[in-house]
Amino acid sequence: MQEENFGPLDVRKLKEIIQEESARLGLRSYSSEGESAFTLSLALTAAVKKIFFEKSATTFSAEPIIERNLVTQFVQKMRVDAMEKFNSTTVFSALQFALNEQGLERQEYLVTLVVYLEQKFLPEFLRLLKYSYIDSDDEAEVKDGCGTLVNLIAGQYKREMANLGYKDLMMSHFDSFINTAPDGIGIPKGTTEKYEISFEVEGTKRLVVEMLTTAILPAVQDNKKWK
Amino acid sequence: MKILVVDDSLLDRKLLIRGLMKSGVSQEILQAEDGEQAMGILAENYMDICLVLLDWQMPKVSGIELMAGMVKIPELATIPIIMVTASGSDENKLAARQVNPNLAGYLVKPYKSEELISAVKPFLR
Repeated sequence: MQEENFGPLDVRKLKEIIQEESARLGLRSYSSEGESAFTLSLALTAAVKKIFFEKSATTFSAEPIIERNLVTQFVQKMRVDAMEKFNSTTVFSALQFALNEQGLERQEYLVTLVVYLEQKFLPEFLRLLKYSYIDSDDEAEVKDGCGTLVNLIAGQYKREMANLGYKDLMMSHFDSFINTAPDGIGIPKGTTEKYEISFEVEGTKRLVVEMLTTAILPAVQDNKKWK
Repeated sequence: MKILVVDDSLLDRKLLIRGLMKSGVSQEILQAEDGEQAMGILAENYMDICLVLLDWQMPKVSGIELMAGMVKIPELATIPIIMVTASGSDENKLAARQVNPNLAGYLVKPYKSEELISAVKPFLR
């Protein structure tokens, strides 16, 4: 029987026990899918907060809510009904990241971002980001304005991903829609889940950003895979 | 007493620690970015640690490996462990409980702050 010991433990001995147990139980074979996707959703949250704070010292009224939800798919695209997010006319813009230009052309996406907000609040969001006034009744201006917003978020997100050690990815042009995307939105192949991040202004959800990512994102160095 | 947070992602650790602090948790919080670093902290501080919040997938030594070792070491076996992982699969939940039948909790990321607090509260002292 082991004596009670209140001194420091021998780390080398700990390591040995851990290695033995890991081998005995075959623990290396277990994977934990989605760990890095969650971290990337935090990076995206940080990116959104940062651009609003840097442009106009705006902070959201509560910590953003991050949820993991299933994707509704058809023909390898994501079906979107933006009215599920808000109770009024909703504008949304999507863009994709791929390894390079060929990857974008072949629709070999690694990350898809979608930004949703109520059409009537878009001018205010753009004002906060120091963009000129847009007419919220003009569909073309609205779509372009929302695309500007997703571009800004995606640009900052790229910087956050670089901070985490991921390779610089190529970003697509945005596509904007009102209420629904008739042909769906291109997503990384095999993706079944998405991270949905909701931002509140004065206690009410006003902005939703979704992120879909594949489990295989290239790092700056091969040996730095998940950092 | 102290809480040890083990996660290779700085962002994840920050979120966890911010959640704990915002909820009034006053315990000192120690941090490790992988299982190997956690071993060193545990070896030095095990008498003062009242709870370990443990990520699963980490470089060098993963969370499940660290936990498998901890349950075999009498000085560490009684420290409550809550797994905090993005994997909510039944297979992984089962594996975690097989490795540590006394597992104190299993939180799936993204978690709500209320879930975090109700999971950690029973172990704060």
